Amino acid sequence: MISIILSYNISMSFNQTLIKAPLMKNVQLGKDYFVSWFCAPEIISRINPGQFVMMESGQYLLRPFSVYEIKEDNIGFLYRVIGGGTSFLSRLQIGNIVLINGPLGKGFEFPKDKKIPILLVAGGIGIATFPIVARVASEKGYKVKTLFGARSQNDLVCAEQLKHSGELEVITDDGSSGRKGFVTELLTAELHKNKNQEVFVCGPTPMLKSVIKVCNEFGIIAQVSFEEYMACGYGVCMSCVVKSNGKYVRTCVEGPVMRSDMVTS
Amino acid sequence: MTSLNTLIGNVELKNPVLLASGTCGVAGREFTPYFHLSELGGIVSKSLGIKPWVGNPTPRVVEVPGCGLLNSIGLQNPGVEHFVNNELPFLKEQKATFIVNVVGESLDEYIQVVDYLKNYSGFSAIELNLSCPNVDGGLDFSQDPKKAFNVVSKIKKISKVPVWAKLSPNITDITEIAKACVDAGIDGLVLINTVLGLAINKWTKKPTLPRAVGGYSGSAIKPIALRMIWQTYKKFPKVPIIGIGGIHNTDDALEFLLCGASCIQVGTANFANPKASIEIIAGLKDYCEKNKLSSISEIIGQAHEIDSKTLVGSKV
Repeated sequence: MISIILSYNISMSFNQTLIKAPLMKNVQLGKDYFVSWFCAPEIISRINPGQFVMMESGQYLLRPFSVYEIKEDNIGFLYRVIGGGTSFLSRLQIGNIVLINGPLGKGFEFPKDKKIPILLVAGGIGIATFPIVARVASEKGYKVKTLFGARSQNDLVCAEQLKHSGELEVITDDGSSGRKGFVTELLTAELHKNKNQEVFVCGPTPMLKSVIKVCNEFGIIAQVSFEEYMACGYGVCMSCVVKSNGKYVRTCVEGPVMRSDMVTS
Repeated sequence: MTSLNTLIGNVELKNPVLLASGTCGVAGREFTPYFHLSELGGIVSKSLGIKPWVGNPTPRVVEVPGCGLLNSIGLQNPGVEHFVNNELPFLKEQKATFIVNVVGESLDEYIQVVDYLKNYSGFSAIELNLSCPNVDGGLDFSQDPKKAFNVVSKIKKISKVPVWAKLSPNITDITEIAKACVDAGIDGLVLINTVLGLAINKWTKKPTLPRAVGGYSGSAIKPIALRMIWQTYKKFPKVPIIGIGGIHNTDDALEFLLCGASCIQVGTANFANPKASIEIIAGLKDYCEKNKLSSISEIIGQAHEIDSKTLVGSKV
């Protein structure tokens, strides 16, 4: 057996709570896109942008959802209806109650120097985590720009909202909005203009890999939000691991946001 | 005044509800946001080897809709030395009752871990994982009565604390292995570990899990666990049984106690509800009060107190 010392974070600081929260509103944003709002003041007071929750959604296990935005006592989750869990959520009625465990994991870390611009790079539904990040960053005084790659115009949800917090540039696979191409093209152009930016990334795994490759070419360490299939979301099942320096670490506790130079798979 | 106090041999538990190995991180630390660890009957550690184990590649779990899940974690663990240095002091500080689950790739490795633990105190028992389906040879000790007898008798000789054995349901007659363990002097039988299963990904046209097979747990395996506890209790009514397999709520726990388990472990249910164990403890207390029981132990094995004629054609 190869002897590998595993990094178990024994100084883990947990800040989550388990609550039953009522649905306040379901808003349809596009053909298959919804934002579900729940009343959850106990969770809201603890959130760092980039964190997620585990939420009951009619399945055997809870499902992870990144925090999209908070408004007064309400917390919103943006999702695309793709399976049983998201379909269940989109059909909930106002007042229906679900179990929510959160906030969980590590969010994005804003740079100490407020003069360093924050560049958000989103692929597809990975955009769901960025509205709160963009708003909080701009309120803190950072210059924020979002690069958003999606399949088509119909998938460019919450674009208007992102424009409130800074610049937005979009690109689509089919050219139905913005240029035709991938978000890595926008990123390359952006980094040629200015390398000294803090890059936050969220999207499907192949997109993350391409973005990390571009960042590496520019010598930039990005903060990347990883997604692995998880059973518990709070660190007990050891399912959602990614390889970091030859060790398996949990995306739900040591992540989901991790430095791009720390992850090898 | 109702008591949930439970005795497993000479191991005293505050109540009959434990967190199962492999479903509470390495040692339960992750539950501290939800309740105090001393509220539990006990916590069973992740299986600990003499050295750290890396675990299997992903995907490590797949959900079986409505029934449970298949896992193939592969016993990722930081090793017994890390546990003793980093988790044991924390558990003592928390005043948690603790059981150390031990695993080895060979008989020798089981002995090494227990030998290492001999120098430390603060845990109540050792649980031998004789039944992990997700590593090579993991089931050997639980499918061959001679091997089971051998490992249990060797460990019994060196352990300073009581020894429990966690057995596999992947066998024709559970009582054969149980007998081997009892003959070797076991202090408690933990029934059952996961059931071997498999899932196919229709898009890749391949098994979903990297080792093809995985361990099936959750609601669907509860009847299998109850049947095996029933059979084992019938043959060895004096050997304490620690029941596990698809326990999600108080009603499930009651079924296990009535069937012959002296206490229960909550496993997969923790994933969807970190407070499942605490809710079961409250539910059992409530049950005792409503039924005017002075102790929860009064109901253990009560389902066996039936006229044998009322069971039709029963072989078990």
